[in-house]
Amino acid sequence: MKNFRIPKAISFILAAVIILILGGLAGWYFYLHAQEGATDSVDAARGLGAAVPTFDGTTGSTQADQAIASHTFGTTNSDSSSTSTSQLWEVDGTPVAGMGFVGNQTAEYLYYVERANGYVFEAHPSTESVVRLTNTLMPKIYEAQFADDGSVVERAIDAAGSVSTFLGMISTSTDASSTAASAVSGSQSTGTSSAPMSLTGVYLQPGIQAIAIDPASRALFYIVGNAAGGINAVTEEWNGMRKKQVFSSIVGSWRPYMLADGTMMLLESPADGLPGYAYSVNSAGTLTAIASAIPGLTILPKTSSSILLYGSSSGSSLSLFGEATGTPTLLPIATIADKCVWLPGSSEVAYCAVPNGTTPTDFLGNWYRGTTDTSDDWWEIDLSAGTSARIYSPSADNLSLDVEDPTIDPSGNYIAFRNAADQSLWVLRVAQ
Amino acid sequence: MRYRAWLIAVLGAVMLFASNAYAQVGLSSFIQGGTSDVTIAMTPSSPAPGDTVALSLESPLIDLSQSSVTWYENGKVIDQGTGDTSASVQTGALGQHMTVSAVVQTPDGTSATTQITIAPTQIDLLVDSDSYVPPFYLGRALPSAGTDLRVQAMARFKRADGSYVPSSSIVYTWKQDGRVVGNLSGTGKSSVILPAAPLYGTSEIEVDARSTDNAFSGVASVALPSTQPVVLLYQDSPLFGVMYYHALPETATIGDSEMTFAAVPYFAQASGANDPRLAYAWTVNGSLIAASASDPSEVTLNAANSDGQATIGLTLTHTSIIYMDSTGMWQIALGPGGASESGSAAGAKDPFTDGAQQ
Repeated sequence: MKNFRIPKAISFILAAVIILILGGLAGWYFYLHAQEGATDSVDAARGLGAAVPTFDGTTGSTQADQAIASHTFGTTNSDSSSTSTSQLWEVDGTPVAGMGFVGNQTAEYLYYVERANGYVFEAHPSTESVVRLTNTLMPKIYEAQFADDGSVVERAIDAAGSVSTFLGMISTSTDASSTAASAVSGSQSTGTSSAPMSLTGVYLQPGIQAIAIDPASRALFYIVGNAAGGINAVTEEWNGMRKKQVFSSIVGSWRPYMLADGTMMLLESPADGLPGYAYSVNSAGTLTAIASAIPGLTILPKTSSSILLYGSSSGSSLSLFGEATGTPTLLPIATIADKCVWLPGSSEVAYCAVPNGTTPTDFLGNWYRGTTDTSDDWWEIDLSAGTSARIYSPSADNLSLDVEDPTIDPSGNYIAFRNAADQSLWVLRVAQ
Repeated sequence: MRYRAWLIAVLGAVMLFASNAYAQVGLSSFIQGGTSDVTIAMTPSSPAPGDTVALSLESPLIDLSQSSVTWYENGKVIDQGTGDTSASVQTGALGQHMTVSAVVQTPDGTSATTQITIAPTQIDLLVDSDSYVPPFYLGRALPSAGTDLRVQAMARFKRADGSYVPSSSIVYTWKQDGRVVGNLSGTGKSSVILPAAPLYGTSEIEVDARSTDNAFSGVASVALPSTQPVVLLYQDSPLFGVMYYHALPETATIGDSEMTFAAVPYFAQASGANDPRLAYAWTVNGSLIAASASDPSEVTLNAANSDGQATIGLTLTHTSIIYMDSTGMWQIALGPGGASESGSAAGAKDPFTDGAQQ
């Protein structure tokens, strides 16, 4: 039998091939190992390697999980019937999308939406306690508005970059997966519900630029772009019925207002130094001017009244006017109407946050773009008596608050507002 | 003699024509009546509600300085005296038409009467731009070079019966920088789109509105300077989204070790922040970072294994507007230690050359 012998040359070649394969595999191993290390580093930087949060705040609040405590500030209120001793309460230290008082004069709650999760919370100014009402995650809510019955409009930016508008109602049936809610700030809850509910609702058409809600009837009044490059102003019931276009314009910058008496108003979006116009709008679409050619115009209409506060911004000057009898009166405070709120009822009293010191040139635009902040004091203005008085200065409590979006409860005891600098939510107890 | 008579007749006709022409020019909001002997001119020619209107009496044929003049407002005497050729009245609200008359009594006993009816009108001239502003912005979109102005005239011509002249029965004559824009003017054309002024320029927009029956008229104008687009930088937080309420100042500290930053080109000619006509040139600590094709307006920084100090630079240009060139520079301190640091330490490791992500 003849032995089979592999030629020496082929043996060398086979050996070389095997060595190359082994070398390649080793190189590939070290390459992957290095890549894994880089990936782990990046993941760690992104927080993927962090421990799972314990959520021992129990309520799922961004505030609780970030362990930011609520604070109270201020002096004892002179109202002896009050159970609260603070004049200022920081309700939520994390960004809040919007808030509104819900209920009536005998049982008032402040509802608000956290920006991070879209949860609805119920705050009790008298006991300084907070309860989470919903457990439906709605991430990154940029704006929220409430009706008197707690219905909420939550607005966000969808994946396509368009503004989405969700009309939500708090479910009346308990979600089986929910756990009992507890107070965020530690005080006992006197809430209307014992467990977070789901937030159910529908989306309106995408791309709504601005929206206002009648707090009493929940009717909607919104601005949406049209095919001509301008806008349509549309009214619609909460249930989607009676949708009607009441106005259209080639001009695209508008703010809608809807008061509790059903009054609709349109304000041409403010611009420092440029004339602004505001109109009331009836259901037939007829516009009636309520302020014309005011530079940097901002307005604050009053429900069931023709009284108007309006502000003017031009250059570095801010002016506020009150108009009760058709003749505007220049008020002795330099602020904008966006920082004011009317006392409910038939009086002609308003509360305004007034920036301390001088404001920068073109304040409105800079403020809206978040390039400047103010440190405000609260003032009370009585148009009928012609008086004005400072009622609270946060600086006395070593605070600096830039008031935006103020709202007042029906009894006129509490003013809720956000600090524009960080979107935190505060409640001011108004001294009576 | 015959020649002189012809000359007087021709001159008289010319003066009569001139007086009528003046009355037409002096047409305010709404004027009816008047005789050829005397006319009433008024300023402003298109009074708004509540305006004080200056009236003056003129005549080419009568020596008014020697005549007794009596002024009436809605039949009530408001002024009188020899040579009293001027008076003033204040207009009421829209729809409140006012009759003003003047009775002239010359020394030789000749009398002349003229009358006008003033109906205040109002024209609101609303304007913004198709320039970019982000969602939820509460201010107005301002014009910049290359953008369009969107202008709407809202003429309120209110009749005595309370009805309004519809926009479809109003002739609008638009002017930009003194030139009539003929192709955009006409009956019912209450809105126009006009190009904004070049950089640092100002557009003067004027509209003359007149009802088709010439009963009402008014003029309104507005001056609109072109602004330079403003590029601001915001955090795009994974929790809160783009934090439009707080634009980053030149120096800022961020508690997170990784953060996405969003540039917002206010008032640029763009349909969105990622409009393909916008070109973003990002630098981090001086190194150019390639912009993402899908989201070029944002940049993500990761401070892992670094001291967290970064200088973000941004230059924004426009592919079709050569003079748009906005730049910004921000000193950012990222990470838990960033808040306690200020400025870059000498010789510190540059963390972001490789760590920047788009």
